[in-house]
Amino acid sequence: MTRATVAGQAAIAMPLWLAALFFTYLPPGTAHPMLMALGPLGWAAFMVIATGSDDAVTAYAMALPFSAYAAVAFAAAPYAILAAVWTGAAASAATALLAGGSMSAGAAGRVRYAAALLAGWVPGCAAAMAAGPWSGVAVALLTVLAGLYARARRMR
Amino acid sequence: MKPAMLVLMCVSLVPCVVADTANEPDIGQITLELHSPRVFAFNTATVASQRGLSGSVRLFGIEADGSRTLLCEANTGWSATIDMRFYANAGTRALVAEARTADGQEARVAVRLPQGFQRLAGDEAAARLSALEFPSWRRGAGAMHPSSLVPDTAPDALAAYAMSRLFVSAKNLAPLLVLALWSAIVMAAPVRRRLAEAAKPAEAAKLAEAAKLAEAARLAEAAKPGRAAALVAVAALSISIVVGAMAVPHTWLYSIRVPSSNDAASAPLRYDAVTTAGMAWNEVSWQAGNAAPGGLHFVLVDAARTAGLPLSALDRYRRIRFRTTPTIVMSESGTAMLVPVALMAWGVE
Repeated sequence: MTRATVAGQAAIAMPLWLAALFFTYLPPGTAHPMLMALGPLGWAAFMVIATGSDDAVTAYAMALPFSAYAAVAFAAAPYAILAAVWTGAAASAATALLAGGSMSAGAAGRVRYAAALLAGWVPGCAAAMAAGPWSGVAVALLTVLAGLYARARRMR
Repeated sequence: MKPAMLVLMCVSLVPCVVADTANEPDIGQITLELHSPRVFAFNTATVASQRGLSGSVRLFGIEADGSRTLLCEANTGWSATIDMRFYANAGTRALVAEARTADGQEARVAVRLPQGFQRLAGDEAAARLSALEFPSWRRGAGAMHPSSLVPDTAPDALAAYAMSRLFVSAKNLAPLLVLALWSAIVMAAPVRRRLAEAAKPAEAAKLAEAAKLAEAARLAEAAKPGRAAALVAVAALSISIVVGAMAVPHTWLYSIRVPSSNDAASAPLRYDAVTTAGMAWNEVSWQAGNAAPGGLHFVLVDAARTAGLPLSALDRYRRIRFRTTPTIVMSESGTAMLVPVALMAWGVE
């Protein structure tokens, strides 16, 4: 279990920024918009799990604007809806993490952490693909509310 | 004429007729009416049904080899008639409309284009457009200069020069700067947190001495990790929205006029860029100082990953020849938009 450091945050931010710059100069259509939008959040998740950082929220906060940029800059119109889906899903993941508390030490804690991440992320994205972007946002928000409710019960 | 020769002629004509109507019989009860279509121009066709149309209505162009090209698509809740805009190139032989009537029946109708539609002789503008070549898709990079000395003003050379030097795709770096700033702020967060933690005991002691218990409680509440994390999350969402708004791609319409013999201009010729920013699209028009308005233009529509270009942006071109046949999307309100792709064209004002 480690706390966030400047070097740790730079290890998340610098590759994302360089990738954003690189893909901006590639011909249109080269970058797959879904992968581009998922990439930054996936990278943040990987770094948090790999380093065992407790400050997952800051890592996601770092990556979220990169995801929003990728969703808008590389996706076809209507990009605003796509951006809303990813933003909603990412917000769900971040808040679910908040509701779950910080990661406890050891491999079990990391697994619980990854499970919390997927619990907040996957349902929103799955609903967005199956039933439309606004359904995805609604599911993501419901996951957030469920997470907050679970946290409130634990604190009683 | 011998019977065998007659049979041979009939057999050889069959593929042409089949190709003209896409080898698909009319089904259902819809009609397709053309309003004096012209080659190398945007035309209008009316699709109608007494039962009413519902859902997607699509208009295809049938080429001489029988291939289909989607020319126009519209969606309607219910409508008795729909006006559909379409672009006709010289190879289009027939149009096919496909729709679903309001009672759910599939319907299709094919209409052959009028005799002489493809004939370019006698149509000076169309004949001139059909003789022009298109340059490669390779475009220049970097910043666009507002003025340029064009070495060769022959149409083909001018188009190639425009694509490589003048119709530069401007990169929007503002969102990347915001992302860099955001990264710097978040990277500095651990330093700030450590400084705050170092200052906290002294501050708490000072507060206790002053017996400001309420204030101390407020500080303790503010120091809870959940609240700080929520603040970070809200900031991240706000930055995401700002970056997303800044990164929205814009539709660009580039054009450059080919000097005519009346311009008395000789190469090299200086062109200046006139940039016009609009709500639906931005326009860069390259103009030579002493050239009269009108005439032949080379045009590039850069609408990839945008909402498309309203057809009204190309209204000033009496005749226009696209490199690839564009698809038009009709909105419920009747607005026609070119689908969001990059298109190259020669146009005559």
